[in-house]
Amino acid sequence: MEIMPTPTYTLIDSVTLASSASSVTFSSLDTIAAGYRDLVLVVTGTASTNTFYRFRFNSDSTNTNYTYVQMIGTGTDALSAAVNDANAGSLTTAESNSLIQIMDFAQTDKHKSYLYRNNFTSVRAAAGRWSNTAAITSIQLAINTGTFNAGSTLSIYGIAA
Amino acid sequence: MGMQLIETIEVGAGGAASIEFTSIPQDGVDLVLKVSTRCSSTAVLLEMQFNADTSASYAYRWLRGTGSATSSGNAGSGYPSTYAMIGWVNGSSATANTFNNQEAYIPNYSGSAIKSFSSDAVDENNATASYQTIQAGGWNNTSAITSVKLFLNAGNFAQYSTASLYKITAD
Repeated sequence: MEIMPTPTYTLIDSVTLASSASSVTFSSLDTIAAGYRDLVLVVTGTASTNTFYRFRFNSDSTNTNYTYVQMIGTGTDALSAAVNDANAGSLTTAESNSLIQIMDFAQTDKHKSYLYRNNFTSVRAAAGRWSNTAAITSIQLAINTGTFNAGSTLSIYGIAA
Repeated sequence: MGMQLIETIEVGAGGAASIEFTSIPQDGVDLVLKVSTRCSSTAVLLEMQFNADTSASYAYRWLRGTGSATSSGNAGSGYPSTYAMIGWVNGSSATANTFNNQEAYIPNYSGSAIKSFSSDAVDENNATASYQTIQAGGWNNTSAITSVKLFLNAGNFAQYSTASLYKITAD
């Protein structure tokens, strides 16, 4: 009997902005992403200024509930730092992208961890944690300064276990 | 639906100067490239071009950790902007049978915006040299990507090097 691979990397939702926006929210993940183990967010586009955006899992806007460690290559220097913030990636006025993995988003027995890499005015990879055991039912990406420009695309995929 | 294999290319006996995916279907959203490579000579860089574009239209930055040191560089600073660099590659002096791996993500490849990409890679040689790298950059072109070419800064891909191209679809 041929064993077929489990479909994965399934698009759950995608937003291409018709006009600029300061945030984008994917909600009802407990419904539309039910059955998937992990989530992948892909952000591609531009912003009105060089800036970054933050996670708001389940509308939690307390930045100190999030921590991450990052490494950055500026093109000339290599840096690393641990930061108490909800940073989820960066955008510039030129086209750039972020690839964000959120593991075990629906589990209720662990804090939620995530990995991302993105290009900005530098290349960056980070590993972070949201200090909450609740299942993630909504994800907002909220820009720090300025807006996501029209035409930017934010997509969320489900990864099957 | 989801992530679908477009094609896997394995290098045969005698090696190959390049690996190229052509006529990439345009019904996907993003591309994922997974590569296992080794070089037949002393090459160290894995390079990528879209749509056979050899002009100076690629920009990228990289960050590398060796286990004891870190460094960073970018196109235009000792690295040409005529290709996108997506990782380091084991050369012929590396321990036999050691290959290294890269994964590149190319969002909105069939769209009309300027294209961006990111990649991560590992290059390990029996604990005598280990590189972990990330790269990110862009191709200053709004054309849909219809072909992806991989090549090295010198020499050929060794036999058994493989590259697989996947598309992420919206259905």
